[in-house]
Amino acid sequence: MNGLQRIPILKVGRVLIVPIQTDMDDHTVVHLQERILSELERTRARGVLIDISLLEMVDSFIGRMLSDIAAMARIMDARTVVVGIQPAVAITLVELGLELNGVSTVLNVDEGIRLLRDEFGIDENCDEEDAPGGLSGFGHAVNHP
Amino acid sequence: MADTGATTQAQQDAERISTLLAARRDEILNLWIKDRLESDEFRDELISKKELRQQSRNLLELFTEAVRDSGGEAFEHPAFDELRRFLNEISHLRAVKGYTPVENATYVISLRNSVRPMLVEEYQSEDSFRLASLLGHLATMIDKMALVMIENYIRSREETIRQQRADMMELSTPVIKVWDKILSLPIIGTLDSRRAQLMMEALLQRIVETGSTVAILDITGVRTMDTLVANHLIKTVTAARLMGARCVLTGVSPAIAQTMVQLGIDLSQITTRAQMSDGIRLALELVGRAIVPAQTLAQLRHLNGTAANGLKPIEAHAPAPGPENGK
Amino acid sequence: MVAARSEVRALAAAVGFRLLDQTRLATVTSELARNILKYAKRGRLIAQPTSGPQGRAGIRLIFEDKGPGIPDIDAAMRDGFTTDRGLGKGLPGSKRLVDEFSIESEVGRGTRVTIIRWL
Repeated sequence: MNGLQRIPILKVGRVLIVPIQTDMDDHTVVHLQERILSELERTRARGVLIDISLLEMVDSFIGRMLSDIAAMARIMDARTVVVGIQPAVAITLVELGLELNGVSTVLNVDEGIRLLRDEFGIDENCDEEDAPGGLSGFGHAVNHP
Repeated sequence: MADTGATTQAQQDAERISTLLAARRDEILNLWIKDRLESDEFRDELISKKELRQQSRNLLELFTEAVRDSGGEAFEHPAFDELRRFLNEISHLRAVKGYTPVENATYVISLRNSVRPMLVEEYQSEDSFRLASLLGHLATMIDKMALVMIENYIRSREETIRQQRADMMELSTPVIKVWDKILSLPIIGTLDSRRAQLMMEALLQRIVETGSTVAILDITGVRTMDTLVANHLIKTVTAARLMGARCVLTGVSPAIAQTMVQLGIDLSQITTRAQMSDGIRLALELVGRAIVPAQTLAQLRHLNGTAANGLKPIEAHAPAPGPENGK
Repeated sequence: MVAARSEVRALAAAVGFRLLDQTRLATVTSELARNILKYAKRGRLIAQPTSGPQGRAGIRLIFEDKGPGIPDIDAAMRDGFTTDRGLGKGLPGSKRLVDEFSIESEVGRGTRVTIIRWL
């Protein structure tokens, strides 16, 4: 059942882009979270951009995945941006009482890239490890000004 | 109708009334119609004598049958269903013509005035208890009929009002694109659940369509703020934020500000400004623009052209500044 | 569970619900079906169109299981979550997504949650 839904994780510069295109079952969600974190570690990316503009539903499980990814990525000195929450999904999330704390949310991929660049200094064009704001390995405490 | 066993008082009353109604039908009808025609309220522009006669005859017939079949039961009994249906029908017809509910009720009640004297005449030798019961039974049924007419009127009015409100709501939730990436939603009048829902959906939809990152919600036109309205506002702001749009609340009067604080509303999530103009200024800043006096703009362009700070200007060979660079 | 969500969404669309309500129903299905899987391992979802007073159309969803049951329904229905952690049974949130919500549960026998959304 797991292998059926293979959600791509793309790397563009220092940013991982995760386009979620299908409705996910709980296994896929858990598996995706693991994969994103391991990719973060492997590539030392500094940004994660999760595109859910094609997702028609976000429930508490998926909501928690997004919050968890943001929190864990942060520990690895990476920032997470969730992109493309649809109006129906936004309303449902609010009604459910999910606030997605710690998750930056923007309308589309352009805004997401811009946010990562302008606010967190993460440049998708740059591939070097010591770009401004870059770090030299994972697990360092985060105390950047 | 049933002769077996003990007849209740109600059964006897019903039987007596229906018998009289059937026996003296024409007399009752004439008396009733005459009473109507001669009353102050009769409006001959709304209904012709012929129509009135026809309507009254039908009503009387249905009434007679219903009483006969009811066996003394109350108005809720199925025997009265046909009568009730007819009453709803004429109530509607009359409302359309322009009769008021009082006129409709009076029409029905005046039937009693025709029947009552005949009942008294017929049963005057009865003991007072039985006579009272008989007249009471008649009165109860007539009153119920009048109530049906009134209820029906009220119901159709409410339906009309509901429809009008729906139409109004459609018209009153405009979301305006003020500038590139900036939307404005002026909220006017009373906010109820349904309207607030519609507004929220309209705003979110426009955010997607225009790619806006700022929405100015102007509540200058909102008279009162209660918990319900406040919750809807917060819901809208939170949902918009999830979509990456920041909301600015403008037109907050001191009274409403006070109410919001008293209601314990968490304002940390919402940026507020007293005036719409302040809201616009902030919105522009948020999307990286500013409103400057034209003079300042001219000065800026001038500086850019004369390399005042020693650096090579961007368009050193350009002619006099025209439209903005990059536009 | 993905299938359950899709079916509910399809039924909702057939009854005439708009996208927003379809999403609400799919989300509620997800939440409540997950509870069943989490606590009772297996259960049943019945989805049916329904009609109410004055001829209103709507949809009724019944989530049944023969699981351990909920000892304190009041506690489960209290909205004690201000963060996204430890969401528990997600019942208060689900309640907000629908028009009518009822829950019957008996420890050791099972649980039934019935929800209705009107058009």
